[in-house]
Amino acid sequence: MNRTYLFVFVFMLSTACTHSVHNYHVSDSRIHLVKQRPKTVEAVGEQFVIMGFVTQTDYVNQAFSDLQATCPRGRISHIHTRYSTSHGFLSWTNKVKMKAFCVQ
Amino acid sequence: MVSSCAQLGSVSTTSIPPQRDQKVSSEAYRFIFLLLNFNNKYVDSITQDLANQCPEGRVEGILTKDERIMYFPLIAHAVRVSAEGYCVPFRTKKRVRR
Repeated sequence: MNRTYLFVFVFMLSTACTHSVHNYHVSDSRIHLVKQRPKTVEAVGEQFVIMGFVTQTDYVNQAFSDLQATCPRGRISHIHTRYSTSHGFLSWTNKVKMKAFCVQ
Repeated sequence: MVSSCAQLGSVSTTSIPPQRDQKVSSEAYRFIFLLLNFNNKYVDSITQDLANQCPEGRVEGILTKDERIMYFPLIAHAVRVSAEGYCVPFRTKKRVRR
């Protein structure tokens, strides 16, 4: 029974079993959802961190650039930005997900 | 002392315009000693700084990041708020000949 508990404990520590949403933001909306019929675009930026040793947050800027690349000559509006962390064993993955509407 | 650990506090963005030729950016930085921070006025300069970089237009598509930096636990910390966007020129009014 002790080995079973130990196995379950180690298994839980080795996988991303918990997630935490730190921040959810919705931008302004500069498009008419019915008349303009926009398409949905999305971009995700991730950063794997071990023991907190990371010196920059460039994954956010990368996600922002990737979002713009999905709609190069259009207006991107109604942007939902979610910043969350998936926890692992002595490490975690920071994620920024941006989902928006694009009107070309 | 040069290296540090950076963590994202919050992130937000406004609508991104189709015109993305002119990029503008600004940031505010505050070093915090012994976790003592007596005001947050350092952030106020960002808005005016962005406006100064775009005198003939409107700043849109602004990505705002709030970063927390740790140089040494409990002793040396910092906060950096950065904003980058695009300057969209005002449209000139077309003259209508009558």
